[in-house]
Amino acid sequence: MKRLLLVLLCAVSMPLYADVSLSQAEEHYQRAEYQESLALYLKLHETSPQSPDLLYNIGNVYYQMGELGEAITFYLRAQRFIPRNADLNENLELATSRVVDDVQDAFFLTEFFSTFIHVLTVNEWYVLWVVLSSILAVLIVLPRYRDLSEKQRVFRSSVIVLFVCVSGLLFWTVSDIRTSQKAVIITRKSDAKSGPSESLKTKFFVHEGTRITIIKTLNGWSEVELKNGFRGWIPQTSYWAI
Amino acid sequence: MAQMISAQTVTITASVDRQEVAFNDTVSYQVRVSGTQQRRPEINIPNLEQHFSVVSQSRQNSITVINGSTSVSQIFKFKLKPRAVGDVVIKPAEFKENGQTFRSREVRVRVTEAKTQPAPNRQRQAQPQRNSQIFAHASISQPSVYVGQEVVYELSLYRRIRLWSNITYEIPKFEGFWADDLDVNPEQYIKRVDNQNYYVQELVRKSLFPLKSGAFTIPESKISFVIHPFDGEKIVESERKSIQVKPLPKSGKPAPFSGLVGDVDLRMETKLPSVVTQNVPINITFALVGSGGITRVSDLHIKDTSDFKIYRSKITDEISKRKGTSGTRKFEYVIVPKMPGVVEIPTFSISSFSPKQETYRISEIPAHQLRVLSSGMDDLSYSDKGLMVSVSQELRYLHTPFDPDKQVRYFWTASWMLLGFLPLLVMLGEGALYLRRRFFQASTDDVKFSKSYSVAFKAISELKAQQDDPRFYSELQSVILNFLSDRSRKSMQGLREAERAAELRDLGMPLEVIENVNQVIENLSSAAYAGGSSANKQSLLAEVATVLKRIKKEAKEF
Repeated sequence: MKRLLLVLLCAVSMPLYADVSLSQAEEHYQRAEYQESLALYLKLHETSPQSPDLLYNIGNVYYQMGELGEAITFYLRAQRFIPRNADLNENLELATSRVVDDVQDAFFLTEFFSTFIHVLTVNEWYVLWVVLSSILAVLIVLPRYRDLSEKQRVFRSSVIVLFVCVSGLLFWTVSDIRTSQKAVIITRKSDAKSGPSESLKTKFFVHEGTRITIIKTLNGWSEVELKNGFRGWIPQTSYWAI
Repeated sequence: MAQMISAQTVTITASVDRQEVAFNDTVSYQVRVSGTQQRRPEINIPNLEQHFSVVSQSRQNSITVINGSTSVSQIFKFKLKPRAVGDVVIKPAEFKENGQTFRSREVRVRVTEAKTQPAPNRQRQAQPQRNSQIFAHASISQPSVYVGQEVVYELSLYRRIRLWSNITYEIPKFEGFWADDLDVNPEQYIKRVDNQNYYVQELVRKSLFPLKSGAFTIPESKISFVIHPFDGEKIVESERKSIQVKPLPKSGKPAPFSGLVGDVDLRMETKLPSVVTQNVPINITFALVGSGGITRVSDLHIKDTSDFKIYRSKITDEISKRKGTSGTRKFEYVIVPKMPGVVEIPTFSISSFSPKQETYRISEIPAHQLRVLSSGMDDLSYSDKGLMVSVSQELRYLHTPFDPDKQVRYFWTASWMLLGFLPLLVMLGEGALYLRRRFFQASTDDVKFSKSYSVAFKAISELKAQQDDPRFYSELQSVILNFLSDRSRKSMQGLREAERAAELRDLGMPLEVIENVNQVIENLSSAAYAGGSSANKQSLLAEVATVLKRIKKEAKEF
């Protein structure tokens, strides 16, 4: 009985604790006590790693602390869940505008594709895929019971094309999340070496906040690629995966 | 003769070339500032006009290096003509250095009565002679101009001989003209005149703007120099120049007219906001670009307005004075919106006369509409598009309140995946059925059909040996009907001719084959009643074999 009471008490007090922490974190933020605010938000993040609002707030605190790379990382993590949130997009744009490296896509369509794919969350892409597959299933079974008109056949062909495209995009977004190959530089400046060793030649420099793609990892070093096609090796401690 | 005062690093001396001068003669007064530094102090020359008229003046700079030490000198030279007889004291020249004032000494000159004979060591060359060794040449850019149009006057010395002294010159007063100095080419150059090369030294270049119409003559300029110390000073005179000044045409003259004659354009250099605050000044800069008398324009024409207070704050020039006057004169205005609301900044314009096109034109910056906010709203700023934006770029605020437990779960959970798999399973099932229909079932039917065909031909072979059997005809008929039953998967035994034909039509069998089948079956029925010879039986066996082959052949297509 006592144990049951204890469990119930914990269950009731947990949301209460979260509310208190949130309000305290906000108060610290208002007083520009960003370290304290961050500590509370990160504590909450341990139990709620996929809360988009929490990720957004942590990004804000990091930005105020001048930690541009960390801020962008958290904004991008939040963007996976709320890609069309105006607050998030404005803050991310502001943070990105302060990044030293202005890395442009090597191919102009890549930027367009990247923007397009992030219009919806992965769950929204999945829902769209389910809807399209359901419609397609009906259109495939229907001819068993009645002949399809010319318009219905055109519609079925369109749905098939759309279904294939959405399947591809869904696959892309899922693999993007599951492989965690996207990352953000968190150190002020990193030397991108020609191989996984400090003694090798520096090929180029990357600065805090620059977005990278991790190709492979070896002995604490990662081979990374920038959007413009530059490749080099940087220490694993130089970046955070999104 | 020379009076000198020295500071630690700079020396200033003042001197005259003679201490006694006739009233109708000239005396040279010179101030020399020498020092070891490149810095040139500001020299105050005493007022010479009190006792003399300044015939000409010049300034020279020189650098001398002796035993590794550098000396820099500035020399100011004045050719003075006395105004009255008597003793004259020229006050000291001075300059300030590190808070101290350094002066030269006074210079005394006695002016005596005028001499009746010209100085014996002087030779006057009344008119320039192009074929001489040295001559003065004056030129004007054009002989006929409009009132206010720029004319460039240039005085040069042409020489083929070495000079012993510096050159001094005297230019006339350009009466009837507004005169501005232009840049002079300090370098000598060689020019060929009448098949002879001359060193040419530009001495004076002036921009002249006629003030009124009429015929004007610019008197001769005089250049003096010493070729040899024993010959004394020589003077050459340039040509007189005539200029015809035309009045500006009356037709098409805008009112008010700025008086500017030249080819100019007015531009606005400030990007104006669309929203401003009441009583907060805005700076606007206009650029008057072109050539001609742009430096004589002191203000632009502003259309009357009660919405703004307008002040002209500054004029800055970016003018080239090499070939003539051209460049940009910038006018800065401060305008203060008086009342809130939507108001128009008035037009700013300049009227001018283009001598090239001989027409008047007005260059105008059109009125600009803007919104003036009440002064109580001055804590906000507005973008150029009139949209309100924050004063500084700052983050949007935290998301609060929110429920941190409200997390986003990815779809790869069992229930979500099941939802996605259901239509997929339906599609896969339908696909499988189609494949079965398309390939598997078709091949099974083919096998069955081939087997039936073999069975039928085996039966025909057996019947060939049993031609005496009374059931020969009925057995032969059964061979056909059993074969058709296997093909259609329906029994054909006992069906009437019309029913059989309908079934075979449903199978897609061509009408010709159906008629052939019915004919053979009819022939067999007739033979069973009427009996037949052995030859007739052989013929019927052949007919049945033929019709079976035909059915098989046609079956591939239906």
